[in-house]
Amino acid sequence: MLDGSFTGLQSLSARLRVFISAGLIEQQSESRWAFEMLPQLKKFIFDELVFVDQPEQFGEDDDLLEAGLDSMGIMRLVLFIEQELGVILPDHEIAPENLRTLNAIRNWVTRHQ
Amino acid sequence: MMDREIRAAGLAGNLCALVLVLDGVPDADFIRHRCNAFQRRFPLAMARLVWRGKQYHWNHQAQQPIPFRLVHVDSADPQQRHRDELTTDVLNRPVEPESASPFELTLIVYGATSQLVLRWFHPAFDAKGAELVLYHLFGEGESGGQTAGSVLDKLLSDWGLWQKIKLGYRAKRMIEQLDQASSTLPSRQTTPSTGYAFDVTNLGRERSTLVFEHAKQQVGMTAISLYFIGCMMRALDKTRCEDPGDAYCVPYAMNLRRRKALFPVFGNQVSFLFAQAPCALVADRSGLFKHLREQSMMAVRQGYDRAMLPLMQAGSWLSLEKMGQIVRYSAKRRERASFWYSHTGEMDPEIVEVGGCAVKAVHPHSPVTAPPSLGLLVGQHQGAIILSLNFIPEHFAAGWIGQLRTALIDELLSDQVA
Repeated sequence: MLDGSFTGLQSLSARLRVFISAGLIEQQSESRWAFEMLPQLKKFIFDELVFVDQPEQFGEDDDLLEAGLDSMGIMRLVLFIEQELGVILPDHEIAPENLRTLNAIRNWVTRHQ
Repeated sequence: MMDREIRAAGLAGNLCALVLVLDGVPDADFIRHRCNAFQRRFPLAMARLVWRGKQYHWNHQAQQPIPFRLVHVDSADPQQRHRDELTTDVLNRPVEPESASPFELTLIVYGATSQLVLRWFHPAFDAKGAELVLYHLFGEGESGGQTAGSVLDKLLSDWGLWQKIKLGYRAKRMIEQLDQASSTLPSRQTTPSTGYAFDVTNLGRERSTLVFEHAKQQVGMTAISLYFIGCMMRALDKTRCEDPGDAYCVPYAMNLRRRKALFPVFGNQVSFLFAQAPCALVADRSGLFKHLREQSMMAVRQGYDRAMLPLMQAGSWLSLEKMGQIVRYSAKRRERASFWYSHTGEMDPEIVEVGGCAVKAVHPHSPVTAPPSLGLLVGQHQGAIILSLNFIPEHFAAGWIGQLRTALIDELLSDQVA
């Protein structure tokens, strides 16, 4: 009975540890996105690919394709993510749903981090 | 350098053009008024070429108007062939150094319709710059627009001397690799021409939608241009080039302007790359597109697109003859390019009317007055693809360009996978 409870506690604690570390990883990845990747990405997009009047006002759900991101721009953006952010994105996933907004790019990048 | 000197040195001329097909005839005074307003905003438009040292330079001259000509055609409804001949005359009209302007406008009036020709002196600006000139002339641009710096200037000023040298060598190595295969040439003739001709086809929205669907299937959304290049290679393969080689090799320009930016208007804001495919691969449709796409991804990944910029900058210090040799010939003294290619995409920002007359189409032109004697320019207007074949007529047998156009359109519309 004691043994059983002890094993149960151990399993619970292991699960908690996995849960907490998964949460931490998610948190780390969130903060890496917010503080490291997003500013770099925005700088690259608005310095070199697309012109908007006020880049700082460009929201994470605003439409990049509508803003003028074209085919060559997409190629450069994917290679920038690969070379500067160190995330390899598969060619067959280059699609509007993964590139339309900064949030869509975040989800795409996160899946492959 | 002047267009005639460039041609004399064996390079193609540098007077490019955009032709706006208008549904009506705008008032000439309206165009003059807009030209004056443009000059006040962009004084460089008043510049004229002057000889200084060993080169021509743009020299600002006050009170020099933007050249504007009005051509009235007697027949109200001339045949298309006659219209094309008139436009060709305007495009090929020689320019004297003392009157050379960064750009000029010609309005050709055919009864109740007209065509407005913007002919510019490359590299005063490039094709996207020409669209911006039209926007600032006839669009809302007359009144405002936020300025934006040049990506090209930023890159060139960020790179130090050693980085430029390193990049230049990287580009040189890429070109040496391309030169290992001899290029297939559409014509054996090598003499430059005093003029060029064109063959323009508007695919219409329905067929254009189909072409874009096929392009996305074959090359994905990152390389639409490669679909047109691949189809042109296959069309040339079907119509038989006069001078076969190991591969097709195609230089193509890459716009370095930020999309939606209304500035910079002036300057050559492009880099270029090459698409090369072995002739043996051209018959395998899907294999060809896969190869072109991988090659392009690799080239951008290796930084070859940017590597061309210091090489182009260094080229401006060379003599015209030396520059011509480097640009045109492989190490084995054979023409490197099978044809030229340029894709300007949808006019951006769009000009919907000039003086109350709707713009029905926009035709791009490039002065292909030297071998390879053939260029394909692709534009879009309100969703419709415009194919503009520019060529030296005396270098091709009668009817060959027509066969090539038919083969190209068949290829673009083909949904054949292999």
